Amino acid sequence: MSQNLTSPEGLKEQFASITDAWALAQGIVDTVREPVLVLDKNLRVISASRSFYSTFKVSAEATKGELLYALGDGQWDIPKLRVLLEKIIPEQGVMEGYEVEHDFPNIGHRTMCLNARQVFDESGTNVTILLGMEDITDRRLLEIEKDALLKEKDVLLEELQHRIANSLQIIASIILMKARTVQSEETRLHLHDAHKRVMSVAAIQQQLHAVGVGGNVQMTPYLTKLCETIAASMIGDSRPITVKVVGGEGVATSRQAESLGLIATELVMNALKHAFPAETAVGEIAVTYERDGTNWKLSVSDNGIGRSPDGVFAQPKTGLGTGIIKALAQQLNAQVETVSDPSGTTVTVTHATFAAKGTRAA
Amino acid sequence: MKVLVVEDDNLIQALVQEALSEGGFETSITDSGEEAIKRLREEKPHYRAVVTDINLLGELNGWEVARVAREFDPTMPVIYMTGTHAEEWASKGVPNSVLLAKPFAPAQLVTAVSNLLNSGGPTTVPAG
Repeated sequence: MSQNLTSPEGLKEQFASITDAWALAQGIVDTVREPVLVLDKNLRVISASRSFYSTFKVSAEATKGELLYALGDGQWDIPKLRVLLEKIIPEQGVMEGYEVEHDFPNIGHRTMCLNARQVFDESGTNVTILLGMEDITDRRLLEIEKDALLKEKDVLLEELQHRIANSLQIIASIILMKARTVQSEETRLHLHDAHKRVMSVAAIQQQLHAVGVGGNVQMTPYLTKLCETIAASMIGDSRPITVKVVGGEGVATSRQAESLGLIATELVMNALKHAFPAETAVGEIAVTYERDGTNWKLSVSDNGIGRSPDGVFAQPKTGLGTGIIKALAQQLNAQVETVSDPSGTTVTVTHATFAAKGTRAA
Repeated sequence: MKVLVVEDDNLIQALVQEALSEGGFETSITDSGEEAIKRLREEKPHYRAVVTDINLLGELNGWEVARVAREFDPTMPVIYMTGTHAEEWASKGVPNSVLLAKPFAPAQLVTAVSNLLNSGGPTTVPAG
């Protein structure tokens, strides 16, 4: 007669002898790496794995036949364990991943992950309970340590941002103080320019702070906030100039947004300085960001004079600001194009190919 | 009466003190929330406004200093200075306070303090 050992019938044939079946069962219990207890319906220990004895430092003689809760002078009389064995298992038959924390006299504080299962005999009257235990104490400690380290990292980042903001405050204030004391008007103008650039860098840092490193930035609200900051510092009540941001839902990485913010800042500042002479009726500057897949275009256009009577373009071809724009564009792998005529100036910074839609200030 | 300035950075203390002094305000300066509260408790008739950073030395932050200041005097003008906590102002700031985002121009601070003192009903518009 062939034996099919994968079927219950095949197993019954091979282990027709109860002794053989018992030996197999005990062998399985002893082989399992985690501590395992086999309990009768009264929660007395029928058998325990060798790893149970070694883990909890108890002997077989002191364990077998004893009530579970009485083991080790009552160290297993744990309220959560009672709930598992007296309520959950009788109702549900199976429970996995049940965590119990306890201070064991021999081994100290432990967090155990328990699996429990009822096993009925063929008649359905006798029940055995299998209780497996996994010591997850170290894992839980590592998780607690990881959470603490993450919190510490957040605190350190906040402190770093705080220090950066303070440093920018100091730099901006010292530049302004120096601007008040210098005799040369040209020097004073350069110092005020430097102050505005520091304020712009600070505004960019503030906007990007909330996004975090590696996050994506919604460009339209970001550029809007930047332009509001620039306009507030550079447009006096008597100057009828507006700065508006036009754009859809384009996003950029925080690194790209930082560079694009600096470029937009330089272009808007240039337009405010050079595009609108004192007699300007209504001046408009439009900042546009468009994105299509990996292609994007940033443009700043004004309805100014294009070129002042003394020959200065609204967007100069040389100078510190122009150098900054070119360097940043190169970093972004983008091209800069300037179109200037008596109706105004438009500077576009384009990454890869992009079909121009063109938003020109009115 | 003086303006109580609570700021943990020494250089910024000096800059704020100079700005307020040029604006005609006397100042009393400390770097910790605990010391600020001690002064408010012991000297409160002598302070006309509180200008406070959010990150301070010690356990207390600027939000808490302002709350205690208002407990002593519900009309105390409060100006917050911060580089990193502006987004928390709506939920943690006291009503009718002003927030200046660092870096701010000294004139903005003087204007904020003057506005709060002159109007008697401080603005809720964030400066900076």
